[in-house]
Amino acid sequence: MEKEKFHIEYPTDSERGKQISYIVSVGLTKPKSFLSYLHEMYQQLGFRYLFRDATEILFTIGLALAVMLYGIFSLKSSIDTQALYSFIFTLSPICFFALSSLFLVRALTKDTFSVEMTCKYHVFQLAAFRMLIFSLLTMVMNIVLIIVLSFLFQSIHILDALLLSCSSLSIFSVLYLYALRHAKGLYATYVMMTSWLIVNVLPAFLSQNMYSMFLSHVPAYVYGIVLIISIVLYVKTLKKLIAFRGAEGVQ
Amino acid sequence: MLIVEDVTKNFGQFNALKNINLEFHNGVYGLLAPNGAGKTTLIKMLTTLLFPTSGSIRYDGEDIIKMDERYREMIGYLPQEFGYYKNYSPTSYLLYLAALKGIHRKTAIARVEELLKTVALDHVANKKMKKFSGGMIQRVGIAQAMLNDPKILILDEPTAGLDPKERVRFRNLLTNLARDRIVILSTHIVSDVESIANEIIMIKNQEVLYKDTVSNICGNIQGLVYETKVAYDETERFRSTYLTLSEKQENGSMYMRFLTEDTAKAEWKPVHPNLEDVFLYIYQDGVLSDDQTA
Repeated sequence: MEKEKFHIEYPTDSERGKQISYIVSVGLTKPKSFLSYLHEMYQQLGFRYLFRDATEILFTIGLALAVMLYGIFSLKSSIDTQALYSFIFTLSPICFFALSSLFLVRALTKDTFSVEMTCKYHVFQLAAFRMLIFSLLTMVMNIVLIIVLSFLFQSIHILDALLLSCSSLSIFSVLYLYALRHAKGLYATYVMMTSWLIVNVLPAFLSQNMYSMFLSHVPAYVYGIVLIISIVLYVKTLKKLIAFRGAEGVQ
Repeated sequence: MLIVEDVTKNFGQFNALKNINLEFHNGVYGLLAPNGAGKTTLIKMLTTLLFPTSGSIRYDGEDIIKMDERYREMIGYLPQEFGYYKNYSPTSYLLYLAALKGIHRKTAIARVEELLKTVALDHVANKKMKKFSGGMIQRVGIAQAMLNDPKILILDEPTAGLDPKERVRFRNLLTNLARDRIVILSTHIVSDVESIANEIIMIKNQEVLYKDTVSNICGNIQGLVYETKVAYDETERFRSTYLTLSEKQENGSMYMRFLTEDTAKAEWKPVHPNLEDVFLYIYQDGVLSDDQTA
């Protein structure tokens, strides 16, 4: 009996290469970068749904701005420049805290949370995006306030004040996110804010001069380094917030 | 196929569920147990709102927690307490959730319109939800769970607040949907699932007691359920002797439906057990049912 001969067409090297890269691309999806993730989320949800409470947010910012301006204009002209720096450092994150606590922490306690948490884009992913914007908005607001302050108090160095404010905001934001992710209970963030005020106000209260001197005598490059490190940490923590669900889930 | 394998869930020292093993194919599954038995915990694990303490839940072989957004894209979930924004209309709320679910706006607009018709809310599509009744809110909840045409539809106490007509409508809708998807319905209302569920899952003492068809589950107490007429002054004694499943007053007598393993008396009429009988037997009178099974 004659053996039947089979002709097998083997793929060429280039075909094999193409197939391998296809399998790899389908099987191993590249993790998205933080920015591309945010961009994709913005494209899908748009401003309308990312900031569905935009009116309330703007109202809160307006109110915070008005209170701060009132505070600035009420300051006595005889106030020490050093004291102004300690005010800037302590109060720079206030608006960020107000926005985050009113519009993010509240979202975690609402009845809508369960449904929103089971969607493709869940509460924490939205929170990461919104927090980034809140910190930028707070930064802009702080810049405006510092410019106003510098008109009233000529002795203030705008760049030093800006650096101090941005460093304070970024350090606070990192600590805030840490409290949100790691501490049990939603009120941990409020404890965080209270602790921030105590830690900054208490030394100023005990020895205004020493605290202000410390803040104003730290060289600008140190603030610069602190600022860069905190921004890196902040973005990293925000990235973690996107995937955050806690050890036991969310409830 | 969705598989729950050796899943245990503890909250600190408290053990909510232990060694749960389940398998879901397309069809309706009724998760039936009294309040506090662990239904919602299981549902929350199936929706990734909670993670198992041990064991795993897999969809087509892949761990659902690792699937992350790919899993969430294919589920629809109605929680026991469905939250909404009071100043939103059903249309605006559903469009918002559709965006969160990753549905393109054009597709979402058509889908929302279609779903609001399905749940008979098209006439109030643009009215603020703060004026809605509990049943209307529940129907918005049902609509949102179906927005993304989910492969797995998970509904926790979905008929709460619905009137009888709406319940029938809802059951028909689920039967229709279950042809090509998994529908898991958690309830403590037996009639919600008796007629439509392909399988019933009953949980007792943190474990799965039954996962079977209605007829097979009812078969467990076949020949033990009777009806009889009892004189008024005898009812108390009768209740303490037998596990009464239902009572009805008619023509001056009490008609009792009850369960017993005793030898049938001539005046007892054997009846076919239903799922409610099984439910009451298992849960409502633990002491008596334990004695009788002994």
